[in-house]
Amino acid sequence: MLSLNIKTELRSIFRNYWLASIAVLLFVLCFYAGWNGTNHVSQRKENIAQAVTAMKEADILMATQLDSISNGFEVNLQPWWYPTSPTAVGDQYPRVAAFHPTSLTFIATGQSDMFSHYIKPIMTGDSYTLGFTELTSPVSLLMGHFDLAFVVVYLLPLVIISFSYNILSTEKESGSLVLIASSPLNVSLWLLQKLSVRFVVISGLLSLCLGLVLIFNGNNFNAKSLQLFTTIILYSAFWFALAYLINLQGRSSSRNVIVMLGFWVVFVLAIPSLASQWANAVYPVPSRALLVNEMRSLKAEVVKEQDKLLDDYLRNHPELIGVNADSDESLRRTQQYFAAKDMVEQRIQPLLSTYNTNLEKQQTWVSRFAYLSPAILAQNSLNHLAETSSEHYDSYRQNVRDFAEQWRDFFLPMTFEGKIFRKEIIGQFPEFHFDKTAIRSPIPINSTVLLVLASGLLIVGFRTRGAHEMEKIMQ
Amino acid sequence: MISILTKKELREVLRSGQFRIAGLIVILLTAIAVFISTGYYRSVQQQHYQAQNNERNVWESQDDKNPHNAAHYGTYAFKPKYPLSLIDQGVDKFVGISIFLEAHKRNEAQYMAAADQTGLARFGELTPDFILLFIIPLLVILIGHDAFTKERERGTINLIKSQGVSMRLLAFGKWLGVFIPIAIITVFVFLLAGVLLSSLGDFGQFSWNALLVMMLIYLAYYAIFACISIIVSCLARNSGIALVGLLAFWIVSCLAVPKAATNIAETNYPYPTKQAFDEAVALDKSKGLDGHDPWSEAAKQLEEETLKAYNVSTLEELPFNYDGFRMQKGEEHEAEIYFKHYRQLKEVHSAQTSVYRKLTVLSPYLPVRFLSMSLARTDYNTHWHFSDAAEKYRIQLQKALNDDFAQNSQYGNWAYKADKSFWAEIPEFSYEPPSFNEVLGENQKNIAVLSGWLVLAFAGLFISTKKL
Repeated sequence: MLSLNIKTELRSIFRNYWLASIAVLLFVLCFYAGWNGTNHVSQRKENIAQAVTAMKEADILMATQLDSISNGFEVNLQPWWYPTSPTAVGDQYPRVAAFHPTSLTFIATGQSDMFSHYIKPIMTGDSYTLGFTELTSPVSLLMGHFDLAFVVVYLLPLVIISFSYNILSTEKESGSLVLIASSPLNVSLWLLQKLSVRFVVISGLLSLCLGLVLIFNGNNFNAKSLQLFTTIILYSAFWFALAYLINLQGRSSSRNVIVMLGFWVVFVLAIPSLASQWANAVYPVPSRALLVNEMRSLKAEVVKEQDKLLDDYLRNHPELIGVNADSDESLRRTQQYFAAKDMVEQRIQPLLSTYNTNLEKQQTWVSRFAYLSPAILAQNSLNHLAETSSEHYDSYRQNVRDFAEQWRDFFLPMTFEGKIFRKEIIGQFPEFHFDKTAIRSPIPINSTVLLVLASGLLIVGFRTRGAHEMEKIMQ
Repeated sequence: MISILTKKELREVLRSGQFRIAGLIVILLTAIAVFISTGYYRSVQQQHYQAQNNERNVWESQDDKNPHNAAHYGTYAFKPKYPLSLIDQGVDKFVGISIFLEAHKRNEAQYMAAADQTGLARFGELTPDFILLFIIPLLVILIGHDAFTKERERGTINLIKSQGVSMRLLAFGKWLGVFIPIAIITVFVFLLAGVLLSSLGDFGQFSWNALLVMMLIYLAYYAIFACISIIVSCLARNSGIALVGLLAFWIVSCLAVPKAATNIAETNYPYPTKQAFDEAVALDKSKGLDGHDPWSEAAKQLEEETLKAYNVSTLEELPFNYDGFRMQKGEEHEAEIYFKHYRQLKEVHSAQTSVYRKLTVLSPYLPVRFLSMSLARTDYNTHWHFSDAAEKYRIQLQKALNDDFAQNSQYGNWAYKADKSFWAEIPEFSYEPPSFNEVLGENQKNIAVLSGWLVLAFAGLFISTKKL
């Protein structure tokens, strides 16, 4: 009976124009979204590559200038920017601390449109003033991007709804349900078999489209792509399971489609937006405006102490520290400059730490709302796989701040000891490595929740409507 | 006849369980959105007032200081919020809240709210504009999708035809049946918002005109959706197909086209990266006058020109402190460079805007979105306006400080300190957003496109009823 039912269902699906339309639609959507994602990633790669090339060229020029200086030639630079000064090198020849895209970055824009993908921390820069937001149009941020995540999270459920809302109701409306009822069938099982066939067909089509998009993007099939397929298939399973439950209610096709679209609005639009707004109302993001105020007040206090160490003018223009000063005076001023800087950092750091801890608590609390909607779970998983999640950017920021400190510490001893910077030291420059090990993957838990939700809906449907309820459905 | 048809349609819609439940949900969501948004905006507004006042205190409390050091110490300009931002928060959370105004440098607005939020915020927030732009059109679709299909499914269409009713009149009656309940909800929501906004003293100057125009724009938007719903219902085989088709239109119009427009705009007219932008500015700056570098060629040239202009042979003979004068000339040169680079950014912004504008022919959502944000003063143009005003103030501030240095001290006297009373004499930053008429003037194309949509939608409605 099972095989007969599956055969019949497959035959009816393949004879129907819906499947061809859906196949074309999925193919077009996946390729267009994939192409957009690839463009976005290419721009990011190109920007980083340009910055790295410029850095390498600057290094070569610096080496040439150092040779010229050591040979007693003039170089076309103001004296305070001579690369013989470690402070000048630390400021003028920064490294590119880049966040490179991975092979799956193209699938979800996530937070990548908002933040910078390379930063060049300098020696005299303040780690607390490092800016990470990218120069981008807020209109683009508001509208969002047409990426694969959008196709999966928003559009895929609609494709599923259009492919599954009328399975039972069509039979009822065309009168063939009477024929089915005359056979010894459990209606729940019969519907489950039909929906399972459709689930396999849609999952297969989608996997094929995605597989092709991945291949065109030069991806190998690995653990990450497997996680991508798992996430999408489980998300589809949830919507098919919901369709199963709604079909079983035995209502008309128009009623079914209204109810299913209602669920789509609730899960994809209403809950995420309500959760986001509600979370911020109940546990607001700590105020940046007030943080600015507190930092300013604190700085105003520290300025008086800093004045005792070094005049404001040289604090604002450290490059001029050596002008009109002998080497001892210059060294003394440099030490005072960094001591004055440290004084501010040390005073501001606790304030910033408190703010960041509060922000982290707020974000942890808000992230719990993800479990209210399968759409949020799927989006979070896709962002994680694409490495465009909030957690990735938080971690990147921390890595860059650590590197900024490392960069400064590399030059500071040379500056304090009054050493001359030499060409050989270029090869010893610290390099930036983005350590992502602290980022926890939400995929195992998100996938489990999606699986539990889908199974739960199937069990509820299977238990509440048995063969004995066929009469009710037929009414 | 039309009043009979409208009454019948209205009665049917108001009696339907679907409308009652969906309408109740929409009103409930609107109430939640208004309640949360009011609380949020009041607290943000209070924080901004507090921050602005504290910042001024910090500025005025400076001790005796060299004016150039005060210029580096700088001050902050906080972006105010406007009454209609309660209805449409536009791009507010994607732009910074304050700009640091300091010597030698034009800074971008810092601390965008979205950067401190999790990825959840990118789904959108349940604000009044979210309901007005996304949810109410869905309600229109829900009540309008079966306007004709149900008549066909029940077989009543033949009865109506046999009575000799004009199909166009019937379609218009059905349109009114869909539009009137939505218009009542919309007018009610805007009236409520108007009463609420005029009672909130700390929300700035509230304009009923802007609110009224905003309401008319949304009513036009719903009129278009109502027309399209009736057209699809007229053409579709059954209610299910009509609903799926209308939902597809809604998704394409409200989600897919705006997102695709972003991709097209960014691919064809990309912004430079922040780092590349800063480096390009720094490169241009290095080619010109640096107020701190009297040894550069540009500085030497300025020195020669100044000596010649004042007919003196040494800088000490000048009737002002040349250091302060050179600092000011350096500022002016840097301001020009920023002006040039920001103009290039604005050109990119204009090119991107033109992409969105071209695609408004595919989506009535886009002109409404842009018009609504403009009226609420939460659009990107208002942000540019604020940023330019802050830059203008920064240039004036630098001039006041450099002039004080130049006029009240001798050449070479970097130890000069202005009296602490001087800081309070410098006027505070104040900002006026574009006026209501300016906003309407800037949005003529959006108004024209929306009107075009309205005319086409009605034309479509009357043409499609021919088929009946």
